[in-house]
Amino acid sequence: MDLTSFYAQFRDETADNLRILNDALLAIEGQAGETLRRSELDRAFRAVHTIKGSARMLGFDPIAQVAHALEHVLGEIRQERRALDRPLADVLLRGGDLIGQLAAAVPQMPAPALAAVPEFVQALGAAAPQPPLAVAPQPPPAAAPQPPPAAASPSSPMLAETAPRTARQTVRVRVDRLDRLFNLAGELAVNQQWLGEVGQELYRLQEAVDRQQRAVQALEQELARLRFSPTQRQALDARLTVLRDAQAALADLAQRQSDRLDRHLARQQMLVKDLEQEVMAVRLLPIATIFNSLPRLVRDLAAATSKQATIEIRGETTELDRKVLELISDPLVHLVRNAVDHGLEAPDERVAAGKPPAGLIQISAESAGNEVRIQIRDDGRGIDPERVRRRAVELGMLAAERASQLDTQEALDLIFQPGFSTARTVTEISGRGVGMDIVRANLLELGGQVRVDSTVGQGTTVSLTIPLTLITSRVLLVQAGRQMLALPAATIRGILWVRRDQVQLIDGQPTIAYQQRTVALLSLAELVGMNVDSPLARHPRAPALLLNVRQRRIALLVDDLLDEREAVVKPLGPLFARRPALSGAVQLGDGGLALLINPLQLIEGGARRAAALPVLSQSLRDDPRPARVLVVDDSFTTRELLRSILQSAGYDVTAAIDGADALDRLRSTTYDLVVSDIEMPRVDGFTLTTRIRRELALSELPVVLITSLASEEHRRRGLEAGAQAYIVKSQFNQDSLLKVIQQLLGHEE
Amino acid sequence: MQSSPAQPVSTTEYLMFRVATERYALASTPVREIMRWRAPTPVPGAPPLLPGVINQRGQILAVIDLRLLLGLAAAAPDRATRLIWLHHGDIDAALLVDAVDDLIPIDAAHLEPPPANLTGPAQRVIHALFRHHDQPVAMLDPAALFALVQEAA
Repeated sequence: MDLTSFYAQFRDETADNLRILNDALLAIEGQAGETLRRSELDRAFRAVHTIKGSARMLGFDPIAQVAHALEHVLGEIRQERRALDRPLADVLLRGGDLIGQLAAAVPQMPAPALAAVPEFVQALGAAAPQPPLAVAPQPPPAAAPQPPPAAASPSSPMLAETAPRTARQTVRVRVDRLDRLFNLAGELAVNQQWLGEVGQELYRLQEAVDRQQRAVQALEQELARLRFSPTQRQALDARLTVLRDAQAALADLAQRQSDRLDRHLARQQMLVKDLEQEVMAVRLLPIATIFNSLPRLVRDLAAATSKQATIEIRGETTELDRKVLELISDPLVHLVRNAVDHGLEAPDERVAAGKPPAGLIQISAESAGNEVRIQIRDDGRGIDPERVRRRAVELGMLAAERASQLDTQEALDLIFQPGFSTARTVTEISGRGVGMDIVRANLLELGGQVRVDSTVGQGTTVSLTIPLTLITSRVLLVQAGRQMLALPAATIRGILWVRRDQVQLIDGQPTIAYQQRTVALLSLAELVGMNVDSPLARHPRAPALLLNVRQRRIALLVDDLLDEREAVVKPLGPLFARRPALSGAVQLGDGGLALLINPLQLIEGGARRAAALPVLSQSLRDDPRPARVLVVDDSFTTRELLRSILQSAGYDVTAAIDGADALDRLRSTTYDLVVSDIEMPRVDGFTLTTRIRRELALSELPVVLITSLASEEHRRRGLEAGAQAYIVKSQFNQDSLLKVIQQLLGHEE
Repeated sequence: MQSSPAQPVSTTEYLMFRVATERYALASTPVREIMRWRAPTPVPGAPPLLPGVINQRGQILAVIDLRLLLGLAAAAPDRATRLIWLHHGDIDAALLVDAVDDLIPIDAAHLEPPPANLTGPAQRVIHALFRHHDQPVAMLDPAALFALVQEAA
């Protein structure tokens, strides 16, 4: 018989049973009441017994041996011939782990785990396992075979084993099928939006019919005032009657169709919503599936760090989408580890502080509207914002002065920086501070948020806010350059209108003041990688999206705000895996697409690119002094853009507002290179170049002209005037500019 | 396509198409669908051989310009231009080709190794040749093709 199809089922079933064993053993430890203790023991026994039976059926003897040994000991405990003390509980838990290792990849069983089996069986001090399997080794009282799982009525365990698993009202469904269903439901929702647009068209049709009707009436009145011969009148009346009838029929039809569509839409809207909810519900799993592993984790961690900890879990029945659960499972484990390892103090330290020796870890989940909030709270030493500030400065993350300006919340946010760890000793358990940034990254990916609150001496609370479902998300549609882009609405803190004259430069970087704070101003199109000017170069004022990235505030300039709506987000697929800032595409009502941008990833990616620039400036540093570049442009934005590009590449940059200003500066100071616009008031770029060559006799000074005049004629004029390079704005890109400059200055590699 | 009765031969269906003046073929198994050309939504910052993405009944497909991938000059789409939905591994993409010709069964015995003088991308993505009406047709390997695109992306 081909058993392969049973292996996967065995793995799943065994994992479930091990979870039951684990839970039951932990519950017994903390349980005084005899009845409850008894029922937990029964649960553990049943779980182990099932594992043994299935393992034997499929011929996995090592698993059966371990399960048998566990069953034997649990049997003795049930008969009160043995006491379940802590060391014994440890051994039993380890036995469960061993089965887990053996069963994880059946029919393959890892060699180290196999090697551990005999030793473990020995250690349990169980009677030597009895190989015959036709008869149960001993018939200990076990659970009722199937229907009432709560009742612990004694009956033969073998019955439960051999009876086929029936009467379960569930089926296992392949995850990809669910995903497909999920996708289709989303598709339907988008189509529904489109139908809504058709409804709008019908309204417009009705309006047109109304206007026509009024025009016909007016025409009739007009005609009634005129004189006609009786025959003419008769003919006119006949025509008018036909027209009136047709008009009435049309109005009636338009009205009826519009009403019908409205009713249909309303009904379908409800159906689509219901379907969405049902599909969503299918994918929902109780958070218990990940909470369940936490008591064991806390117990083991506390033991490993010589601490005492109790764990309280609330809201295990809160349900979340399975994809969401997958993504928060690791972060949650990490946060709980942190709470025990960093949060809780050693027992003596706690007692000295007037706290009970055992620390309390509280984990709770609750759903609130469209979100689920998970809190991990400890009553430990808390996080000292002062120490976080000091540590961040030590690590070179920010300047001391800047650190002292951060408020408490902002300082605490620093722990989410990559590479940050305040543990005095790097412990095996909490790792090296690689965790918190991953926690945040995972949550951001889900459109969620993470927040830390802490009071020194009293404890720390980490709150995760997670959207309940991923079926549709709210997105903001914006125009950036020539393209429509979507951004998750949850990441946007607000909208700000920026006028050109409000832009202030700090260290060459454009910023804007907002609520008495300095906000960095970036162009979304440019960050995404489009070759277009900043929106402020094209419009006198432009909207900007306010974001909080790390502890900095950022405003992303866009050309226009288009819409905010619910959209189904679809992945772009592995071909774009190297572009984490592109988190997918959203489908618009007409079937078109808009790329969904994760602005936080985008800015962090941009920051990494900017961090790469100092390498370039380092190579220039061989030169005794940075090259002096004069930037000439009457457009403030272009000027500042050029200035910031050149400054970050390590050049010493001076700006002039037009050709005349440039000539003045060139007379008083020496420059190594001039970058100039062409169209400028007073002295334009061509004239500037000619005068540099003739009047100032600077025949060697390199001049780069940057212009929107793309014609060959202009190019020729520029080169005739003596410019070394001519860059057309529409082809402008920062790298090519820097390359040209490097070449002209003789810095090329 | 004659099969000797003694030895059963494996016959596979191939989709033949044209890129510039050259003829290519893909095994039909990974081909999901053939679509008329439509303007893709550009992905800023992506290389020219990935001109954008399209939405085909809810699935997002990256468009791969085969001309550019094979090192040929770009061309404007016309009435014959087609997109071939290719599914391989966990990747779904639409290959931009100049025209789709035919679906023909080919017997594995008629496949020849690619010519030794291929260079560059062609060397990596062409895994066999066969002759059809005395014209050479190059067979593309979807896995190698996607690997090449992933390197460029």
